[in-house]
Amino acid sequence: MGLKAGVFSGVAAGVTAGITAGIKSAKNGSDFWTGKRPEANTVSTLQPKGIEGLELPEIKGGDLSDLRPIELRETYLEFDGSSLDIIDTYSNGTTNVRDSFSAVSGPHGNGAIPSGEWNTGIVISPTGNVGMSVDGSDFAISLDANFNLNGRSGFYIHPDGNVPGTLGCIGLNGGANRANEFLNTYTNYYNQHGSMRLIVN
Amino acid sequence: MKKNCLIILLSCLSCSGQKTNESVNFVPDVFISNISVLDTTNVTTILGEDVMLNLEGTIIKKASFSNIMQNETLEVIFQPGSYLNEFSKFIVFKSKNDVSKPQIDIQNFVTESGIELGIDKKTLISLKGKPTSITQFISSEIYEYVIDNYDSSCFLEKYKMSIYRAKYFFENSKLVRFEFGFDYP
Repeated sequence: MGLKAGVFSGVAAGVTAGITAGIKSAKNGSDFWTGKRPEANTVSTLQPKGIEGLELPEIKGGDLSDLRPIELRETYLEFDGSSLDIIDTYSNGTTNVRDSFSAVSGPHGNGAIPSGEWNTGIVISPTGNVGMSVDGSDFAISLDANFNLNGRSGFYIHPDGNVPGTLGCIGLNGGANRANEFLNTYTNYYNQHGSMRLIVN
Repeated sequence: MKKNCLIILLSCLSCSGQKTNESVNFVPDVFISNISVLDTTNVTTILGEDVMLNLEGTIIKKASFSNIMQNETLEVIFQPGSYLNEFSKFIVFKSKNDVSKPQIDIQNFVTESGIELGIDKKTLISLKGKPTSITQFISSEIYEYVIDNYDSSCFLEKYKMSIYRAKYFFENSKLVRFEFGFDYP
């Protein structure tokens, strides 16, 4: 009885160990029976066609936070003197320029819009001002500075009508269609989130 | 020597205004009763400390004032991007005992070239020359003078502006409204 039990126990343990090793091999992509890894080109042919060419995020050992979906954190504007960019910022720290609009500020009057951080505000339309309308695209988005303007005031983003240039506002070039594209993007954002940051460099 | 004098003379002529008439060069007015466009000097002295608080409008803002007789109104126009108390355009027109506007201690509003309400067209032409355009209505006329050659105008360059416009409104041959200053570019 003791011998039979010992033999049975040994066989069962062997089989269990064999199956466990087989499963482990299979999990590693190796052959269930032999434990041998397939050739590299065999592995590549087993990949689903749908993910070929995709750049998958690098997963660091044990950090599950890296597996959370990347979310849009903020959309802001940046003006560098010649273009007004709409920039998306994501939760993983990356940014993407969603669109770039040719634009001008100054040189008339007191010159270009002062550098610094601003907040956008309401859309005024129509303005009734030829300098702020192009082929029927007629609007002005108010701007508030987060710093001291030393007495200057009245800054807006608007289509650059009349003669080229502004008194310090940001004038959108490129015609009515581009100006309306900017307005639509801005209005959609403003209706959902409110004010947008503007960085003037 | 003669050549230098000729260059100086031509330079002075080109910077003094825009020639609109063989006899009179158009010299743009910039002052109304000692207040100048795009110059904050004298503004608070004449219009008061609270001039900016009186501004009305959304984008292009204006503040209105009455003369001491309350029969003339002065509007000062504030454009975007300007400094405190810096006005780009002045408008003067007749009004009737308007007590709602702040009153300023001036008999009547006059420019540095002598333009004031009540003058006739002949006087205007003698002071300003031939206008750029005349628009006629049934009982009124508008005489308009424009300087818009901002690539070559010393006057526009001085103020860093692109278009100067002066408009004179006549009814029954008498000036009932005038406005001058810089357009929003």
